Amino acid sequence: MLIKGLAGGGLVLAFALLSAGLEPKRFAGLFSAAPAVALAGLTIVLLDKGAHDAHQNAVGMLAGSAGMVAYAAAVVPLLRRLHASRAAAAALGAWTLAAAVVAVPVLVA
Amino acid sequence: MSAADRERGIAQRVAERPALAPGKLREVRRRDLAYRFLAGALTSIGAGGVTLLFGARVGGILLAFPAILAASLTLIEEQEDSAEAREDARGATMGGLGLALFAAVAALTLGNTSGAVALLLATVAWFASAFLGYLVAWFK
Repeated sequence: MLIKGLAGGGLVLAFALLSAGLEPKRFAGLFSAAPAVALAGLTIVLLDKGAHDAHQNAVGMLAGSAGMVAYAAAVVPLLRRLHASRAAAAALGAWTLAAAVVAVPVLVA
Repeated sequence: MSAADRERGIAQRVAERPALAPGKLREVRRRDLAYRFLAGALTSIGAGGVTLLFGARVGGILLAFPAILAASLTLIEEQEDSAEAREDARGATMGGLGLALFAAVAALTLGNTSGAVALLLATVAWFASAFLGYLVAWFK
């Protein structure tokens, strides 16, 4: 778990640095949704548990990534009305809802 | 300059050619990097914990948790302003679509080819689709 945390944090840091050095901001935003945590998590699961568990993780990730699209789309109008910390927290509702809707068929299949 | 003028100015900058500005890296504060590291580490540990408790499919949902984006928005607003944070979020919408393709390619290839090749293909699919989406939607 500790290795997962270090690897996830390290990859996020690498993508964050890349994003910080990119212009314009809308292009840099592509890297705010980079698969940093996924790459770290899937690599360690592959090494530790094997391809079957990594495959299961990736299937579940389909639901999370639907949530990510909903989150990013929802947070844009929220940022017009709220401070970023509150908008970021409020948009988690969109992530949860979209991820839950897609998770139903993904987890049942 | 009014907020509307500033918003128009930023919208015009979308047409700029994407470029790396290494000088901007010197403006990044260590505290901001620490927040991002923490966001990534906690999300990874959370995904691992959920996997242990509820299984790999449920844990996989958290691999696309928007921890990095949430941390970035707060820091961008603090350093620049809300309009720039919105620009980052607009880009992340396209990055999120790429993330869905990453998950789909990984799900299709893991177990059918070597793990390294599967993750490489998924990463290429993420970047190619996000970049192409950016070009088609916004770059004139």
